[in-house]
Amino acid sequence: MSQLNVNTLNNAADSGSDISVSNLGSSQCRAWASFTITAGTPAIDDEFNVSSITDDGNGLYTVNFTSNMNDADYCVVGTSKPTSSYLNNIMLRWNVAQTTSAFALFAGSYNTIPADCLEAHVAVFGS
Amino acid sequence: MQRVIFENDEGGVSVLIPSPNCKLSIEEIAKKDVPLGKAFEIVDTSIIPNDRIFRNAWKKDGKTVGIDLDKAKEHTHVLRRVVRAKEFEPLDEQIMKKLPGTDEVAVEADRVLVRDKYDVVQTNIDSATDVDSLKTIISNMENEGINNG
Repeated sequence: MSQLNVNTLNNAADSGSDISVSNLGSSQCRAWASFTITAGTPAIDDEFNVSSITDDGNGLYTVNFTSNMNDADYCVVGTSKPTSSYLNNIMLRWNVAQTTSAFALFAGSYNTIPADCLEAHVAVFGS
Repeated sequence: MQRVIFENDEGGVSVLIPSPNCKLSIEEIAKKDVPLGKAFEIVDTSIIPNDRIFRNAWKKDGKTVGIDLDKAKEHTHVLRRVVRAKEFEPLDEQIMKKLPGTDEVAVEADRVLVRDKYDVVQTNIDSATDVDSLKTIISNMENEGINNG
């Protein structure tokens, strides 16, 4: 196995835009998942570093990591495909704290009643 | 396919769906991802209800998942209130804005019709004896063109 020992990466023209190797870890996506909420229970379409999804009720889902994060200060970004009748944007649940092993999502709708979206797509950045 | 079920803090049932790509066994995933202290069961997917109309009324009963009729009624009442509010909305607006030419008596009569219609729906929900009857009530509300969104 080969190994590179460098401090910075640069482009071929050496025209700047150095990337410090020490920053590479935190710039990578640490986990992501796409899942579809179908009849019955959701189905995980694809993922990276996600061991499972928990269906906690209409519009309520928990994403569980395969390998835990180092701390709970990570960034979660996501989007959803709404149903035809609900404007169910996906967001973090206000009453459930992120942990190193999981985070909880809420698909919101009319009058803030949780309601299933058709698809959810989330990605995690941090350390 | 298998799922993991456990009772959640709200008294409902949570269903854990293991990732098909995960190298861990379902037992290992359950031990890791089910909240600490929660008793869980590993079950076949076939025991999970195949629609989510009354998802928040699902209840864990040993190794099966059933539907709590009272919670299903609560859910149907929520939908009834939402669709009723949607029907009231344009009528309330006419009353509030007091637009010239608005026949307030006729608008109020229309409001009474809406109120009466949903009073009947309320009675039907309360007297339902099974989940299928509630599904029919929801379907009827949707068929009348009143969307719950």
